Amino acid sequence: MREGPVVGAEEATKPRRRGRTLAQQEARAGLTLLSPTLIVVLVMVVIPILWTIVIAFQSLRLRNLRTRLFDFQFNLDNFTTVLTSPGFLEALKVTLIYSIVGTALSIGLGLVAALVVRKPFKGRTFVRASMLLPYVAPVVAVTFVWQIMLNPELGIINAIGADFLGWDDRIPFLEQESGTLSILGLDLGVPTALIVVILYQAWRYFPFSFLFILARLQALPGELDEAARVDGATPLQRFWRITLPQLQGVIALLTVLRFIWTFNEFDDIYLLTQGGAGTEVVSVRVFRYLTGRGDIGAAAALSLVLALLLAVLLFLYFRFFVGRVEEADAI
Amino acid sequence: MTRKRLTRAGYNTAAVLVLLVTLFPIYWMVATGFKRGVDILSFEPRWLPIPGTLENYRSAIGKPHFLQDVRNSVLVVIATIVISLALAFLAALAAARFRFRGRAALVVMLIVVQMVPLEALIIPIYLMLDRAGQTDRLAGIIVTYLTFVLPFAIWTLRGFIVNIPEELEEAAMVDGCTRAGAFRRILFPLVAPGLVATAVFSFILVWNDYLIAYVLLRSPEKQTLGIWLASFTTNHGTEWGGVMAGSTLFAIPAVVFFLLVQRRLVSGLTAGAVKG
Repeated sequence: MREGPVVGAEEATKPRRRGRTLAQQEARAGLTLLSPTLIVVLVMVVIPILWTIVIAFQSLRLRNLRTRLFDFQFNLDNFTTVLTSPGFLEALKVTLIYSIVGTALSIGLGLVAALVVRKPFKGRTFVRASMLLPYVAPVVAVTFVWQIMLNPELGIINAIGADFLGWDDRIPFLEQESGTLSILGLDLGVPTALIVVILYQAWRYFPFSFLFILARLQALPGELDEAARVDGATPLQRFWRITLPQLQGVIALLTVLRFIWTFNEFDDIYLLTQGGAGTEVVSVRVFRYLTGRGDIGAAAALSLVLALLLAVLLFLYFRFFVGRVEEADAI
Repeated sequence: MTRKRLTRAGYNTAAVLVLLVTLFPIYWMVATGFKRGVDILSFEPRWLPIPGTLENYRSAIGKPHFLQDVRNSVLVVIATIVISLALAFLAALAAARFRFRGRAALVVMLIVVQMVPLEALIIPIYLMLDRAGQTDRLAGIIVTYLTFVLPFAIWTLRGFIVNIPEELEEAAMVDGCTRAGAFRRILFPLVAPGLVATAVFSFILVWNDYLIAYVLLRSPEKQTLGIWLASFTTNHGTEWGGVMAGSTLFAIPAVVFFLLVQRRLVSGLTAGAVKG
């Protein structure tokens, strides 16, 4: 706050005449206030990103870290290794399914929850606060609870399934890559662990969407809804034609945010399944290259591939889906 | 009338269902922490922790390095919050109250920084800290956390400041206050609740972290609580009661702090998105 007084005094005593210099001084003061942050971002974000790009083209391993760090020989070996390694395409597929379905579910659940607590009722503050708990509780703690709940021997889900739903076998939810689901005599093959991981992610992250949608809902003018009701629209009609269109902006924003975060998700999957049983997403693979094989170059290359892919997907999304939605409405 | 009541009933059922699904895992964590070992392992689930026991808590607290790691976590969290809040307040002030070229770019940058995949950053950050001899040191991890807390803290604080009418400061300046004085005497007291809310959310982010601590801290006496908890199972098989007691202990600070400030936090978090 040191730099404030000079600017303030100038501005207070000499308005208008030196407008340009005042603007410059204000700009300088603003940048001074920002400079510590800019330095941190430069050192801890910008430089690391650039360095990741450099490393991706070097053959750098944990064991030759000290000797090879400044040995600049660039080649594409890391990318060849990463893109042709077995399981890469599978991991890509899993990542896409996980992020698309996970994003949709967490936003959908958030929408339902927001609509449900939209109108005031007794204890609403309590309900609203409780709904945020999955998002607030530590990831290590909640993944442990899910593991215990889904455990084939002592898990409550299997106990409920056996007692009330007539399951014959206990299901190792987090270890089973594919199971069969019988609906009306039809046997469907399902990727069990992947589904569970997606459901978990919807459970843990829906509060985020819930918060934003609820805030938007409460800021909506009531007149439109009122008018539609007077004209005899059913609740369902009012939702589809009045409420939902007004939420379009915030849902578009959430879609982008949640998709990016889900796409890069690591901790949750790693702690639940270690990326086993068909849940290996690309970010877990990055981590495996890093810790398992100590191949820093390959890990950097794969994380670059991941970032590029995300950028392409976001570009496509903005190009083809958001064209109509007013972005300014959301941000 | 009956139709309205039906809709109401439908809403209530939906509310109860959503709440049940949301809260059950949390309940199960707390309940299991109080159950006896035989009840946890039994085929038939025990819905209530009766008869209860404190044995799991005793065993969790008695684990090696528990107190040391609590101390580490608290130290890291406090240092990160104090530094990031100071920097974030200045930056948010600049973003909300000063006009300069590149201000819009700054706000965009804040969002973009949060989008960068952690896995991409952690490699060079590790290498940098390694060069500086700061891996396996609390100082190194505090600097790293700063990177992840700052953008978010600036974003939230900016939301709080934008919502305070600038006219209040202008009035103070007309009455002879300097600009810095107006910030200190008018703006600061009004943003104080926002600062508290931001501090709490930063607390939750840092307290809950797993990946960064896992990569940067190696030796057991330097670890934070999240790592302590994650390595719980390896000692002798899976001791679920102890794990759940540990999880509960670990979750309590985050949840309690959150509940204390949740209303204000929510308005701050979403203000930027809804009002702009």
